[in-house]
Amino acid sequence: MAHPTRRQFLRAMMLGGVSFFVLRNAQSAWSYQANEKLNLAFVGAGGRGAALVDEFSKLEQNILALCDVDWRHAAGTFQKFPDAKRYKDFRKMLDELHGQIDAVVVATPDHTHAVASVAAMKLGKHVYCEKPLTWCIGEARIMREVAHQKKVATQMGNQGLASSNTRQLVEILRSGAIGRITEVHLWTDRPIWPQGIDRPKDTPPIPPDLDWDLWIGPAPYRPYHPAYHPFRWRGWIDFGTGALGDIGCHVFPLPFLALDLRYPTKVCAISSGHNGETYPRWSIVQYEFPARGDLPPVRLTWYDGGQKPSAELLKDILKGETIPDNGHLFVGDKGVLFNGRLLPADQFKDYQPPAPTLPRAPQDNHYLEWVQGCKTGTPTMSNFEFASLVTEVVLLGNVALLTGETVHVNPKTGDLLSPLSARRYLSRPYRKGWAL
Amino acid sequence: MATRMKRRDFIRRTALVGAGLLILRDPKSAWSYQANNRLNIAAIGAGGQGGGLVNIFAGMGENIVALCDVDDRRAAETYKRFPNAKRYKDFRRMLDELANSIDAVTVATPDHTHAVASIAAMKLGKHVYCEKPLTWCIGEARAMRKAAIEHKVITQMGNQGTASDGLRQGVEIVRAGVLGQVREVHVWSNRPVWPQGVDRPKDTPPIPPDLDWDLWLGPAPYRPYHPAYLPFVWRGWCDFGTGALGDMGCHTLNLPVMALKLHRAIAEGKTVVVEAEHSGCNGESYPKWSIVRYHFPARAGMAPLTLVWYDGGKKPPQEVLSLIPGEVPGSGCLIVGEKGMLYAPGDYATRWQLLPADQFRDFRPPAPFLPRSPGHHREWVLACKGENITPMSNFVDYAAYLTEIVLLGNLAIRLGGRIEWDAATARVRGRPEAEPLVHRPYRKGWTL
Repeated sequence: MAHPTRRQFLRAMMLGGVSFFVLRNAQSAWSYQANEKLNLAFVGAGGRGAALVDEFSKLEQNILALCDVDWRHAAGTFQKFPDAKRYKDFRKMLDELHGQIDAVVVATPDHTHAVASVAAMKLGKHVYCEKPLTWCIGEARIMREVAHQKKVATQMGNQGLASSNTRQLVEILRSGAIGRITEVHLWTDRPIWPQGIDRPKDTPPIPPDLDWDLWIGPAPYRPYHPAYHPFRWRGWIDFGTGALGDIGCHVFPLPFLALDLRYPTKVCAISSGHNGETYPRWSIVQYEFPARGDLPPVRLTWYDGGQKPSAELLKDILKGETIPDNGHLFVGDKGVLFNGRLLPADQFKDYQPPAPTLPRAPQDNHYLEWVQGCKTGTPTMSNFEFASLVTEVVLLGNVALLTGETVHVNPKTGDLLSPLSARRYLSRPYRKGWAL
Repeated sequence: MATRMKRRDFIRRTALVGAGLLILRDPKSAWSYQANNRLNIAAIGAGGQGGGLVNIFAGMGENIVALCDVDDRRAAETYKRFPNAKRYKDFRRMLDELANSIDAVTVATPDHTHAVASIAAMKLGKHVYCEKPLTWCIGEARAMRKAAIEHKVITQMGNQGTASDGLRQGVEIVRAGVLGQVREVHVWSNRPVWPQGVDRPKDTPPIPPDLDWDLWLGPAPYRPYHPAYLPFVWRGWCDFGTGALGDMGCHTLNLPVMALKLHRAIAEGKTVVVEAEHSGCNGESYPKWSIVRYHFPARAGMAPLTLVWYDGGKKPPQEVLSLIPGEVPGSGCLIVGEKGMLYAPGDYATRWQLLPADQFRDFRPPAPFLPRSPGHHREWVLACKGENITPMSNFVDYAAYLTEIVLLGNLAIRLGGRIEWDAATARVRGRPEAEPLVHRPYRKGWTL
């Protein structure tokens, strides 16, 4: 699939007019393309990366190349796709294969999402990137900018947003089913990895299959330790984004879409405290969003590490049920939405959801939504324009957690107003040899 | 000028009863007569800063009638310069003996005796000029304010930067909204320049013959004499001084407090949350360094804000300092607004610049709406003489509140953790152990 050529051809057609193509109108050109396989390269092929390789191979896309800094971690995937080229350094992969790659899937630890994705987009590749979109707010803004410039198809890996259920909930809330919404509560049982711990002092040898320097990527160097890799990097401030970063990008999109949220005016947090090394064991983060047009201001509260909304708040809703470990609660002046249920039940006995207004993902499949986006140009719902906004706001919660102070934001631009000391969390200098 | 008080009473009465009885002498001419007169001033504290004050008021032509100091040697130079002034060691005796021959009192003693001296003078109807910080504890600051109201005397605290045109213009700029909404203020000081973070000396050298040590201690708990406490170095000791923050807070916090009406949070009985981080405080001397965060609520129509104080070599974080052009001075203040910043280098905030500089290249300051000062000390003198001028740092409207803000930082340092100050009740919520620090129990023989 000499894809770039075909894309150039299509672009030329759109610019130059259809008169040269009497037999093939634009429509048939698109459908022709839609039947082609995408040549996919993966940055991160173990863990979540392995699952994504499976998803896209089920969709019969072409698994062209696999890159992982830890070949043992990626061994299962390598075995399943023996024809795929193997790399440790995504920069080398992009360098060698950029003429053949159509799109790149990024499933690395949070701190390398941006370097990998931006490098791919700058080569004109479509990008699917795991959530959270980036490790810091500055990176999220650059991702948005580059995606916009390069006009590539993008999607962040918050797959729940592709389900018709979620999209219907957006429509229900938008239709005013529970009236004017001023309060949102979101909670998770994360972290399920260690947080609130100190940096290990011992320096075990680096496993032979792991390129530790590449794993560290743009982050400040530190010696290898199994406390970081695999998976447990999530709790470490230098690499992950904690419970909020992990789950926030899954659960914030519903209120963002339903309530038309953008940037908050302020964010404050309480937590078990942090030592500058790992995120707190638990936290409660509160966002204040301003009025938007006719919509009233909203207070959104996030709970993790075993914290949940107060029993008082939920007592009329649960009627004796225990509070589930994960959940959402939207409080309107005419009712509530609690984990997908409209309450009080009596009031919504005969409720009919509004006619769909949002597009549905093809076959409710998140991965297919992006694949089609790559082929047709239709933006995915979780494209980087939206995903970078959600990620920025999620990460503002981490800024509040890490500074321990109320963070004030310009709600129009998302720029941090105060405290100035929080700027250190907006972006960081990269280690030598790394750049966006 | 022993009849001065009577004359003033007379004038006041005239104004009340009406001018009908006074055909030959209208109040106007009475005032001008009075203005040509000299104030009879008694100084409590005549060495160090006290000597400086005496010189200033004498230089303005006022009459220094009495000098009081517990340390003859320290006051010797001043005594020599004013050979006709009566000399005292105990201000109570001085006020007792001269109650009818003095108009006003200057107080320049260690912090722990500001209140007893000033209030005793105010109770006699004397005007008071008192050094900063106004008092050692918040209870005293509130008592000072109350006494000034009750006895209708003219007051001024010695934070002389208040009188500078620069500070007043800075206040106008912030209040005019040039910076937009302000949510963040950083103030840092090169103090302490005296020992802090030290232990109480164990040896008991003899008391110098010229010093009345018992009077020096005044209302503070008794302890044996030691040169570690005086002169000057009392500032670092918890029982006598108020540390780096107490010394410089009333100067370096002056501009942001006035501009952002932070004192109104106290006046309006709001809750102020204060957190202190420091090198450790043993209850004997203040810490070697501290960082104090004040969280002020909305007040007087202004948004909540966080003010951070740094001393003992601590400075704002790099993210903040990087916004300041040139070398970072030992002391300074940065007010951070949505639309820009006001940066005042130095201790007294008497000069400033707006940042980012590019953005304010064509800046024109708003039309002045605060009066310009004839001089900090002169404000007080003129007001004492009945001129229509209000000293800007008078106890009632400003100085007691500013001092309360300063002392809240010390309260947080000494209590540890995060304190919630309820300005309506003058209590730290949930911390009864704060009470003796807020309302100090006095040594026998001393009261307010």
